[in-house]
Amino acid sequence: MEQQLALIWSAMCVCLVFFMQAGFALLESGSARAKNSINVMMKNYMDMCVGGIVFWAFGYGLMYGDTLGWFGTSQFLPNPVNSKDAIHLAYQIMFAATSATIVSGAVAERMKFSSYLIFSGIVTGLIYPIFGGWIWNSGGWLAKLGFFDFAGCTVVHSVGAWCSLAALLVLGPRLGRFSLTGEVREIPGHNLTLVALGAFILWVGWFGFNGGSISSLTTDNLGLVILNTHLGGCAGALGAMAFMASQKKPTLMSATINGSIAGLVSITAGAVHFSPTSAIMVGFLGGIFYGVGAQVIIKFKIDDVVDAIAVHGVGGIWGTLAVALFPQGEFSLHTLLIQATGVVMAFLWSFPLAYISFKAIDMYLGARASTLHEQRGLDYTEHYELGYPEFQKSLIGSAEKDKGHE
Amino acid sequence: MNDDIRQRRRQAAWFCFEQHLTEEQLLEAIGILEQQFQLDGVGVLISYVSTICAQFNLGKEVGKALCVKFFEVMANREIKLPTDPLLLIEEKRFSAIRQQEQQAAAEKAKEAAPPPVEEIPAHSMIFMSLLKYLLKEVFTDEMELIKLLKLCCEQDKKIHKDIKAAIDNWQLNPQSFRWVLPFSESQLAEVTHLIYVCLCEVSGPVEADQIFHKAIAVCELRPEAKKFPPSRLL
Repeated sequence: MEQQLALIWSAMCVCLVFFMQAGFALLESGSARAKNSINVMMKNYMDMCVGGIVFWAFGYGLMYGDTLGWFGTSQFLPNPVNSKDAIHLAYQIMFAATSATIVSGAVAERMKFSSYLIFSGIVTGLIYPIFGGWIWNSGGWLAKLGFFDFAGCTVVHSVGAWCSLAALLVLGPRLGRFSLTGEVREIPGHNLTLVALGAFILWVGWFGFNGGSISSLTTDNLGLVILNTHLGGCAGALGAMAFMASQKKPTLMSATINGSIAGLVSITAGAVHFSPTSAIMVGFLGGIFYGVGAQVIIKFKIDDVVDAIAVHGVGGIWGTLAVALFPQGEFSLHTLLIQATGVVMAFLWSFPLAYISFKAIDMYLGARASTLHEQRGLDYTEHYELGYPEFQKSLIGSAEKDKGHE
Repeated sequence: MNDDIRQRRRQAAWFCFEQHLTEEQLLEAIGILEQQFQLDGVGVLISYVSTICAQFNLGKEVGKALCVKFFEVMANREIKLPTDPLLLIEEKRFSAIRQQEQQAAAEKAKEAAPPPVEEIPAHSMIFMSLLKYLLKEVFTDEMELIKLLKLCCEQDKKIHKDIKAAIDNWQLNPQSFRWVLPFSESQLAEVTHLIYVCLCEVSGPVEADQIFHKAIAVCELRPEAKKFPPSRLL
C-alpha cells in the first residue's frame, strides 16, 4: 500500500514538475517584450520536447548508469519494465528540462531559436546529467564525498544558471540595453501579470520538485519538505522586499517574485533537513542574496532578462552552503567544505563546457539573432506568428514582404 | 520739305537701288536717307547716292548712272514707283518689336513657371518623412544622427558600401535629403534599421520601439502611404 501511494505521489510529482515548465514559460514570456513573447514560449516548450528525448536517450544513462564516479556507461535508451523505474525516469526527464529552461529566460529576445535547441540538447544530454551523476548516482564521486543536494539546488538550478552565464557572455546584451556611455536601460517585460501567474505556477510545481525527491514516504518527512518549501518561498519574497527597502528602491513586483523564487531555490538543497525556522532564514537570506547578485550582474553589463543567474545561481550557491550552515545537529566545517566543493565543481564543470559549446554553436551556426530580427521581434522572424497581432501588425510590413528572412 | 516729296524721295531711292542691293541693304539705305539727308537740293541727293554707293561698293560708274536715274525719277511724275518703303520699314520694325515682346513674354513666363516637378518615388517620400519626424523628435540635429549612423556602419560590416557612401555624402549637406533618392525600397529599409539601432543607442530599445510606432503613424497620414505603406520600411 505504501509503495503504491509512493508511486502515485511520484507520478503526481512528475506532473507538478512538468507544470513548472508552464510557470517558467509564463514568467519568462511576461518578462520579455511583446514582440518576443512567442519565441520565449517556444523555447520553453521545445526544450521540454528536445530535452525529454535527449535525456531519455543519453542523459539518463550518463547520470544513472554504471559508473566509476564520473559518468554512467549503461542504461542508454532505457526501456524500464516497471512503473517505479519508469516514473523515476520521467521524473528525471522533468528535472533535466528544468535545468535547460532556466537558460531560455536569461537569453530571451536575442538568441536564434535553432541554436537554442542545440544548446538545450547539450545541456540535457551532457552537461546536466554528468554533473547530476556525480551527486545523485550512488557511485558518483561527490556523493561519495558526502555532498548533499536534496532536490537539485546545485544540480538543477546552479547548473542552469552557469550555463546561462556562459550563453550570456557569448551572446552579449540586447540592443540598447547598455549605452556606449555606460547608461543602463531598463527593458520592462510586456506583461507582469503573466510573470506573477508564472511564479504562482512555479511555486505549485516546487512542491512536486522538492516533495518528489523524498526517498520514501516513511523515512523522509514529506510534510516538512512541503512546509519548508513554502516557507522558503515566502521568506524569499520578504528578503527581496527588505533588500529593496534597504536600498530605498520602490517595491518592485518582479523583484519580489524573483526573491520568492530565489527563496525556493535556496530551500531546495536542504528542504528535508531544515527546521521551519531555518527554512525561513535560508529563504529570507536567499531573497537578499538575489538582490545583491542582480546588482552585481548589472555592474558587469550582463543582460540577464529574468535575473536567472542571481535567482538560480546565487540562490543555488547559498542554498547548498546553507545545508552546512543550518545543520540538524552540530555545525561541521568538513560538511561546509564538501558543500563548497560541490558548488565550485558545479561551476567548473558546467560553465566552461557550456561556454565552449556555445562558442562552437556561435561559430558554425550563429547564436545571436541579427539586430534586424531584434527590431522586428523574434516572434515573427523565427516563427512567423505574433503573440499580439492587434497592435503588432503595423510593424511587420517588411516581414510580410520577405517573410522574415534577411 | 513736305511729306509728299519725302515719300517720293524714298520711293525713288528704292526704285533706283532695287537692282543693286538686297532688301536688307535697301532698308538700310532708306534709313540713311531719312536720318542724314533730309535737306532739299541737288547736292544732297548726289551726296546721298555717293554715300550709298560707297557703303555698298557699287562703284563710281554705277553711282553716276544712279544719280542721273534718281533725278529723272524725281522729276518725272509719270514714272510709277513702288510702295513707300517707310511702310515696309515700319512693318519690319513692328514685326521685330512684336517678336521681341513675344520672346520677352516667353522668357518671363518661363521664369515665373514652377520648375518641372521631379517624380519622387513613394518609398523615398515616406522614408524622408520618417527621417524628418525622427530628426525633429529625437535627435538634436542631423549631425548627431549622421555620427551615430557612421558608427553603426563601422560596426556592421554587412552594410552596403553605397549606403555608407551616401551617409558620408549626407554629412556634406545635412539639410538636403536628396541622397535618399537613388535607393531602392530594400536599401531604404536597411537604412531604417540602422536608424533604429541608433535610436536604441540614444533612447534605449523601449523608447526606440515607441518612437518608431509614432513615426509610422505619422507617415501613414501622407498621401504616398497609399502607394507605399510605411511599415514596409520596417
